[in-house]
Parts: sequence; C-alpha cells; structure tokens
Amino acid sequence: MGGPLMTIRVEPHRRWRVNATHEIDLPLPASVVWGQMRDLRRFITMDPLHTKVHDEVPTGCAIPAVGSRLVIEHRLAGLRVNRRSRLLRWREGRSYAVSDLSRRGNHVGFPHICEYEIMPVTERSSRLRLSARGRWTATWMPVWLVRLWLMWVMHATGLRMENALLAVRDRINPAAQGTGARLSRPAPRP
Amino acid sequence: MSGLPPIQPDALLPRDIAPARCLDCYYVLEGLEEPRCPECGRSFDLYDASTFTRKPPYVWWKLWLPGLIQAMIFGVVSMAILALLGQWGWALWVGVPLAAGCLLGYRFSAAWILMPALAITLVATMVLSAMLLNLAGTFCGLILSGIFLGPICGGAVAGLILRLVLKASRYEQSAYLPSLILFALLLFGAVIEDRFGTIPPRESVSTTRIIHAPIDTAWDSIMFYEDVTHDPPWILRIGLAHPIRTYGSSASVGDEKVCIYNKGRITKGIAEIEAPRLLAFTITEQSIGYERDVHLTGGSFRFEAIDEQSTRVTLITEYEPLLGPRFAWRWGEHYAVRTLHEHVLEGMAREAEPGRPDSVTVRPARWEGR
Repeated sequence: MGGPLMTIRVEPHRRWRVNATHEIDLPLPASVVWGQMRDLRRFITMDPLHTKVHDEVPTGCAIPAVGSRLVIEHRLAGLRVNRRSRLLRWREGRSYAVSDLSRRGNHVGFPHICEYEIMPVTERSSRLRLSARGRWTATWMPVWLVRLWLMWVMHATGLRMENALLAVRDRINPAAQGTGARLSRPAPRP
Repeated sequence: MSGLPPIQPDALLPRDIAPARCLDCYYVLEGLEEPRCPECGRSFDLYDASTFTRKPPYVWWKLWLPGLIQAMIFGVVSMAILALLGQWGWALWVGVPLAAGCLLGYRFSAAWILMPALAITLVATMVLSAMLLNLAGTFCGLILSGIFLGPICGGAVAGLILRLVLKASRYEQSAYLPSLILFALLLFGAVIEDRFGTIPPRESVSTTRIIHAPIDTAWDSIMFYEDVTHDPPWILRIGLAHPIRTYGSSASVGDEKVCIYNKGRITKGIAEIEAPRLLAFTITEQSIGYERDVHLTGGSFRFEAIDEQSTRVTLITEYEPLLGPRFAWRWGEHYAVRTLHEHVLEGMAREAEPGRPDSVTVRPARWEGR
C-alpha cells in the first residue's frame, strides 16, 4: 500500500526534458472509466489550462480518428492561446495520446505529448494514469518553479478527472452496474 | 425519404456537440459497431434522441456541499457539548473551529477559489449557532467572527493536506475515521484544559481624559454608566445590556447602588472615598448575563489636578476573565470597557465643562439616588 502517485522529472542537463506522471486510483471498473475517456474532447479539457478542444477542420465525427488535427484552446489569467494538436494514438479500451504544440513552431512553447491510460486493478477498481512528456522551453525559470507548476497542473487535472469520474459512480443506474457484459465490441479505431 | 441513402448520424454532428451517451451508465456510444452499450447492454439508436443523452454526469454540489454540511454539524454539536461540559477555553473557541475547518478542507474537492466563501459561511454558521445556543451575545458574536476565522482557515488547509496524504496511502477508512479522531482530540483537549488549565490573572482597564474644569467641578460630575444621559455608541447599544434605572446612594463609604438592566442587575458598593481625588467601588452582585464571560470585581474614579482649570480623570475597571484563550478575548473585552469608559467620561465632560453646546445645565440628582 502506498507509493508515489505523482512523479515530476525535469532534466535541465538533458535539454530540459520533462516527464510528469500522475496516477489516480478509482473505485470504478476500467471499462466504465474508458466509457468516459472516449469523450476525448471533454476529457482533455479537464486540464485547467485547456478550455476547449475541436477539430482544425470539422469532420463531423464525435470521436476523432488517429492522425486528426485538433485545436486546443488554452487560457491562463485571461490570456487565450490556441495550440496545435494531433491524435497520435488510440488504443480502444486502454489509452490515447495527443500532441500539444505551439503555433509558432515545434521547438518553442513547451512541445509535449499528453497521454491518458486506464489500467484495471480489480474487477471494480482501476488506475488512471496521466502523463506529459516533452521539452521545457522557458529555461529562464528555475527548475523548482517548473516542477511546482507541473505539479499544480497535474494535481488539478487529476482532481477534475476524479470528480468527473466519481460523478458517474453516483449517477449510474444500479441495475447497470457490475454487469460487465460486453455484448458488442466497439469499432476498431483506424 | 425513400430512395435516399441513410444519413450517417455522425456526419450531422457539428463539431461542438457532445457525443451520445448511454442513458444508464453514460458510456460514450459514438463509433460503436452495434447499437448496444458495451458496458450495460442497453440499446440505443443515434437517430432517436430519446435513446441516449448528450449530458455527461456531473454533480457539482457534491464536491463541496457535503463537506460544508458535515463541518457545520460537527462545529455546532461540538460547541454545544463542550459548553455543556463547562469548557470555555481553548478547546471551545479554538479547537472546535480548527476541527470544523479541517473537516471542511478534508471533504472539499472543488475549485480552490470556492474555499474562502465556504470558510466564511462556516464562520457565520458557527457564530449564529453560538448566539442561538446562548453561548454568546451580539458583541461576543462579533468578536467570535474574528476568533473563528483564523482557525477555520488554518484547519481547512490542514484538511486539504490530510486528504492528499491519505489519498497517497490509499487508506480505506479515510471516509469517516478523521471525523471521529478530530472529535476525540477535542474532548481530550477539553479534559487536559480542565485538569491543567490555570486561572487567568485579574484584568484592569484604565482610560484617561482631561476635563477642562477645576478638580472640584470634575469631582461633582462623577457618574456611573447608568447615569449617563446622552446616547451611547452603537457598540454599546448592541453589545451590552441597557440600564433601565438605578436606586440607592453612592455618597459615602458603605453605600450601595443597585443598577437595573434589561438583562438583570449589578450592585455596586462604595469602598473608598477621598474627595476630590478618589472614589473606589466594588461589585457586590452581578447577574447581568455575562456571568460566563467576566466576573466584575470593581473600579474607581481618580482625579488629578493639572492646573486650575484642567483635571485628569482616570476610570479603572477590574474584572476576572472567564474566557480563554486570553489573547483571543482580551482585545475585545478591553475595547468594550474602554468604549464604556469613554462614554462615561464624555458624560462627565458635558456636565463639568462650561460653555459646551451639549453640556448639561441641570444636574440630575445623582448622589441622593433616583
């Protein structure tokens, strides 16, 4: 029992490589959590800096296909910035990953990849893993401040996700709980 | 519609519309091969809006309201129990709000910006409860607002940290055990305070004013709080009992003057007279509603001639404090007493100083009682 749930690694001597992860234990089956994670546009906005996610070119698909170009609207202290994104990976029932890049280029503005993964622990519990990997570009900041900033973002994101997912537990129809009967498989992602 | 190919429902979706979700388990139904929820098996039809919902489940009030209600109930019940046990010190006025704040922070998982509003709500609830439980009057309630705010805010921060720590340990009893432990700690603290607490020393509050009158004139203007005729400041109007009438004399040593208030009475016995320099009195009876707060012991009027036309008048009130911790209550008690002193001194100045537009030209029969 126990162990670190959040790890923040900032390596200034390795070109400011950043690897931040946050794990949240949930009293929900992994399939239930995945059912909520499939709403990718809403799930990504759990990050306190992400206000909206939409397709760069409207496709009419509620769930974007792998490779789709997305736009993530960021907002901080009243400042609004749109960043480029792409759905890099989609493993149905397990995880997906999106890139988060500045419009000014791939090597500025903290280019990073956000990954969201759900892992079953028991029949009725699971572990949600958030991770952000990239390169910190505001190198004028002291390392401790970068770490603090990332810690806050990861913690706030995890808190929002946990609240949203626990709301499912509170609202779910008891008759539907625990059936686990997968009567049809989701369509495989391209 | 016949002869036309079926419209793919996904193609109708503007990019901002939320995806369809199962009505039972809120599973996102978009992009599935079969029209049945893979989690609970409920069937759906994306052409029929009654078979799905686009609203994700979210009960925002659960993120803070249960914690606030629990903290309120805990705070009020703990206050009542400790007051019944006769504990009016640290455990009641600092321990209870600290524990209630800790519970509030522990059960809180909404945006942090909401926390100050919840802390203030908790302060208001506990203060009003204290007044309704007759643990505090209006003035004490105002002081309590300041006393409670610090511990509640500090407790809330501690509760937030405790929640993060317990989450990391994956502690199974985290839902209820902290509440029980906090309450047990409160009771333990009350017992320790009762067993090892010390009696606070007597307090003395003095206020000085220069009255522009000869010392004999100033001496003749002596009046008690109940004798002052002009309106008291608002803090005395709402915070203290109102004098209704007085009877008895205060002309000689041994005289007793009884002052009737709206909440009871105070009897003052004249202990020492050295005209025109000193009049000292003791409180021989106090039943005015403040018996759990202060035990008035006495006071004095002291006069010192500065020159022929000016006199330094000092009012002193002495009391035994009954409320703790002293650093939390002393400032409020001294403020109330000084305000009362200034009110009395103003009355004396109006009577003694000549030429004031508000001076009293006809002296009320004070020395012979009313």
